[in-house]
Amino acid sequence: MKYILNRLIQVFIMTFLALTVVFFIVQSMPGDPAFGLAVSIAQTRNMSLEKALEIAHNIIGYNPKEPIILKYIKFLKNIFVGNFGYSTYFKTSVNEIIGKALPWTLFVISLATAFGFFAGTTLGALSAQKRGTFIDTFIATLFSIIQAIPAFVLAVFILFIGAVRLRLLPLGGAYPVEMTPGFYPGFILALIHHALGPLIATSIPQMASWGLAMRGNCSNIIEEDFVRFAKIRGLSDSVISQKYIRKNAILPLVASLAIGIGYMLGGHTLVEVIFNYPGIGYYFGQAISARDFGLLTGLFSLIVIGVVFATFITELLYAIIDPRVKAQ
Amino acid sequence: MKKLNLILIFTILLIISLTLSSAQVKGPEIRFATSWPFPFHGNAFGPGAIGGAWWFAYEPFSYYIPATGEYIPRLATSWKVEGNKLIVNLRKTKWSDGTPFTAKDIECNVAFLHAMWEWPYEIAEVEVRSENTVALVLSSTHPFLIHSLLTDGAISTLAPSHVYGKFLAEAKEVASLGRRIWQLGVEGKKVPEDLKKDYEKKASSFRAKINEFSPIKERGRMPVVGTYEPVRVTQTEMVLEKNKNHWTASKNRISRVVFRRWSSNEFVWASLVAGEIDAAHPSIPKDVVDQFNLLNPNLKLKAVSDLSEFALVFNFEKPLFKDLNLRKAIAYALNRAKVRDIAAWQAKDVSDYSHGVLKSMEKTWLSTDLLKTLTNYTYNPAKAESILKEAGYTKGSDGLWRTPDGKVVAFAVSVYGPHSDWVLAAREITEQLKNFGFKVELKIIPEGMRDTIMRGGDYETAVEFGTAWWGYPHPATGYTRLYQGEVVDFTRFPAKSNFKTPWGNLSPYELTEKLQEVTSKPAEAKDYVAKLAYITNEYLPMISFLEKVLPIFYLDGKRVVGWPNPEDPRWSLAPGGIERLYVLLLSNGELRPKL
Repeated sequence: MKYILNRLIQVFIMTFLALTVVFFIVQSMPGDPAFGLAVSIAQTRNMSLEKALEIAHNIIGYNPKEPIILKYIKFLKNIFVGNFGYSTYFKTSVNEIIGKALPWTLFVISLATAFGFFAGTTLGALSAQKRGTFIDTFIATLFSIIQAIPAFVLAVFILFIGAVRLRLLPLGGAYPVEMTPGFYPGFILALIHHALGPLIATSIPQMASWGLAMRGNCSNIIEEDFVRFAKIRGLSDSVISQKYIRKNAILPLVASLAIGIGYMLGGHTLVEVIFNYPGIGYYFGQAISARDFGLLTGLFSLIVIGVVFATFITELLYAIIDPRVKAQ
Repeated sequence: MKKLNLILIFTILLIISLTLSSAQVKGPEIRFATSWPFPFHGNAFGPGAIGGAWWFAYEPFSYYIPATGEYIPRLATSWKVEGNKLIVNLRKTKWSDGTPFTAKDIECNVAFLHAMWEWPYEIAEVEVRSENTVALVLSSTHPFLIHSLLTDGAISTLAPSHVYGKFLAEAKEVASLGRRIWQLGVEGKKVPEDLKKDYEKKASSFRAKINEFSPIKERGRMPVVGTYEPVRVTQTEMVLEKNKNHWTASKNRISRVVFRRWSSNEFVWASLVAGEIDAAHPSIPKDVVDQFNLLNPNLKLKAVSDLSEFALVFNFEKPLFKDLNLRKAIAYALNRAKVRDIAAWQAKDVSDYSHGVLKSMEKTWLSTDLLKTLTNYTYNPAKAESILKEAGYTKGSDGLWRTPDGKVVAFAVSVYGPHSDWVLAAREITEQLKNFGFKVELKIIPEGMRDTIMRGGDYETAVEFGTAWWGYPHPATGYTRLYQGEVVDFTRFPAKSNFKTPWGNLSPYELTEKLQEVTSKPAEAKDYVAKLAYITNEYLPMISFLEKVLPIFYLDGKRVVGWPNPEDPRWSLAPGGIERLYVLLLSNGELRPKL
């Protein structure tokens, strides 16, 4: 209990510091959210950019002269009560944006992460156990090639092959626009069908990454004395693999998985824009291009909180699955 | 076996669900790609307005076809300028919720434009003369303003009186204060501090209220007077249904418009090739277009002038560029056709003259006789050399040209970094001029710094928009930009000086003013255009190197048929609002379902 309490205090401090850093980094970004509008006003109304910028500030309701310390205090107060701020571009609360977009992001990215992690670690372990065989060479080469392909190229490839050439995947959207959302089989299957493209594009690189890491960990563990001893004891290959190798090899990956889960909250901008799939990633893109500091701070804060808490939960899980941590 | 069964069941369900979903399409539809704000509020004054649905939901008084100079009446049946008033006769029509559209809607709309956007303050008052007649009392009847009032989609129908009327009194108060401040500025008078503060307080509170207003949330729909009403909006799709009360409803044969979000060019390319959308205008490299034609031979391309040219502009504060001989030599030394091929392969070739009239409109505005009198700057490095030699320039043993007083001709070509096509052009220009013997370097202007650097004169030559007919597509707009607007602000070209011409000594600034006065009289306008074209071509305030185009890809025969032939002048309606072209064709019933 004391351990949990100590960790909770640390989590609180860490979150506070990380949020502070996020706030000041975003605030120090160059640019003015009203600049694009100002240029358009200056051109269409044939006036100076300064005057146009003044009008643009009025129109979007942005005050560039507001003291940064006041903004910081307001930000902390809001975050403390679960308010992620206000978007100057969308003129709505960041909470509403998160509420509308996050479910799609979580749906695709959690499935992709789960699939990528389990498939990757299983194939990575298999590859390590079959070291030197065709299976090992095939898996290691395939994963290395996938790792070398830029995510953008892979996503475009899947889109053009899956949706344009083979017509197996739908083009864009989370479900057919003609369908009424609801909890019925047709809609659920359509949801899954529409998520396939983004899911494949997200999970394949993850699978390769986890696979290669697992392969490396397993290869080291196979050389350990306790594995040799287990073989001498006459334990079957499957028992050695499951209980001695995989369990130990997967432990270091759990921490990375936790951070990955935290980052899930940030969405996958690239996949979302290539597949025209809804989610948080789109808002990141918009926030950056529109210099929407409120939205950007809110979304980064969400990721920070996600990563910190995912790490905290992993540490608790670690204590359960790793006897050494439990003993400490 | 169990696993196999599960897979089979899953596959069958998937096929059933997809069959069911595709069977639910209601009536004929057409699909495009665009963007819109989400969460969707349905408020034109709200952030992001209503995105690409703009021209479908709102309707201007008229459309203007640049290629013919013709106005096509839309919400106005007729109009005339009487003294300082623009009198508009409105069409008898209804909003999509059945409420009649009247002159009071225009009055409400103008108050909101003033209060929300501080524009157009040139409308001093709106006189409601009858249910269907409105007079806009103007502080100026400049043709550019009249054109803007007649064709801008914002002027007439953003704020229906029956939806926004509850805010009207407040809007009028803010509008009146704002206009007073503007008027004082025009008269060169100081704005009293208390007036300014009062305005800022009231305007900011009013804007906050209107920005938060969502007709969709409050009324469940956004009544429109345009051809289609947005009825269903998600983050990735926007569905518009035909406005059954629209004055063209009986002719319009497409009941639904579906927009896919323009999330990336790659998605739009894929959607075009797969036939998921019927038309779009993405920027596409040549090799990708060739692939498209292989994958989908039904995909057609129409490149429409985007009403602007890219040009190399000179900074006339730098002594080097005051020399006309050097500017002419640069014009001959540049292989402009090659620059175009590299920067924007679909663009129109402008490698002969640099007269300030868009190449696509050259035949309309400039006679063959006049063109014969203009210097043709087709790529000719030998000619460039002879001009320089005659002017006293010399080429050193290092291969570099020197001015008559012995200085190496060295300068930079500046270009705004975020405009990738400009950067490609600037690189090619730099290389060509280096090869010719000038010491040239490329300077990239960082994002957000273009205006500061160009207006501050902190450059020598730069790639910029040259002539541009944005807003009112007429040579007067282009020459206003060159001699009274942004280009002269950037270049400091002595536009008010007199230049020797076959018609005597003339000032391009004064000619532009005269041209503005006669825009509605083509014969007189042509006379001024000819003189301005002569000065522009012979004194080279800039060297244009391509005319930008808007490539429109469209599928004829997938869901719809009836696209106009490539020569149809209505294609020229596309730049500045391509959806206007779609709306025109849909509402005329020309774009119709494939049978």
